[in-house]
Amino acid sequence: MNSQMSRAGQGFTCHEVIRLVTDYLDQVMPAADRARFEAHLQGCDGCDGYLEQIRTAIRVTGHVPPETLPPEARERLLDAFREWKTAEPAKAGRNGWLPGKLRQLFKR
Amino acid sequence: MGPEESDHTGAKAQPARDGETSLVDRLREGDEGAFVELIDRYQAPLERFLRNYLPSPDLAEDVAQETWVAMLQALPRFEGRSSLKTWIFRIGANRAQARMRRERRTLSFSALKSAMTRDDDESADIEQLLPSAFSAETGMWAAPPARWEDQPETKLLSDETVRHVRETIEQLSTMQAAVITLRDMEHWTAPEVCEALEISEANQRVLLHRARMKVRKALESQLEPDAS
Ligand SMILES: [Zn+2]
Repeated sequence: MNSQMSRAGQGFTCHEVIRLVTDYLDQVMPAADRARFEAHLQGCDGCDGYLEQIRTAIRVTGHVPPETLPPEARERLLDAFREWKTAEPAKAGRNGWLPGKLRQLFKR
Repeated sequence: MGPEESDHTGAKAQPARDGETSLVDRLREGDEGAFVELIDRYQAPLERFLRNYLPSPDLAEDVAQETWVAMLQALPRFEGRSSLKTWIFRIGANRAQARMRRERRTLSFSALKSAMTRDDDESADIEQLLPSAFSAETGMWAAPPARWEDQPETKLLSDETVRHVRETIEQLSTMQAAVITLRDMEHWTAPEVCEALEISEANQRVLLHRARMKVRKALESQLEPDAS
């Protein structure tokens, strides 16, 4: 007889494991729940395979390449910074003041 | 007890690290090199992040630039209680939301429709996101799920598979997409995401969980076209 599954409050069902995967991966489960979660994985190929699929999904998501910044956009940002810097940086520093000309740079 | 800081949200993310502190000091002194360092590090991730809120790349680029200006303006009030990174992205998220409220009045019908579909997504039935090998009625696995980790890298990380995942994320609700972008594309920690998006850890986890379930489901149809 499976004593682990038969006692109330012991053992997670497959449904619960599927629901708790993110909590498990983020390590925010209480130690006792974590132990029960891992015990379930040991005895359940289905949930173990599911966890690996989620890990694979995370990995593939991590491979989505970032957009590259066009050189013009970079230049526009630097121009804006130079404006900010030359327009009385001390005043800008104290009051968060920004020259109108700098704002103009962002209007294309 | 300390005073509330304008860049302090009470989240447990790492406060500004030493490297960041000197970066902020250099910025305040008008050091262009510091600004270059910052945009080279964060401009591309920021634009990608803002795309989750906005219906076009042009708008995202526009709001990203607005974010940098707002950041420079607010620099005197930055006290290093949150990291510079999460602070910049929080400014960006707020600017993007404000822009969307304004744009909604003038957007074309198709852009508006796509923006609304994204926002409406939260009610999607979670049962539909379960693996096809799992039976919701019996609560059992009809068959163990396929071992994707055994598939060749060339298939798993092929342009086609990665593009499919990117398109799936573009269809998620704004908040789900924002969370999975920062967590799984940019590899931020949960506390960092909570700080940037001003959401609770529990909410962050629910959004991430649903987003990952949808990406997994999309991969299932990509890697096992016969399964469902
Ligand atoms: Zn199971």
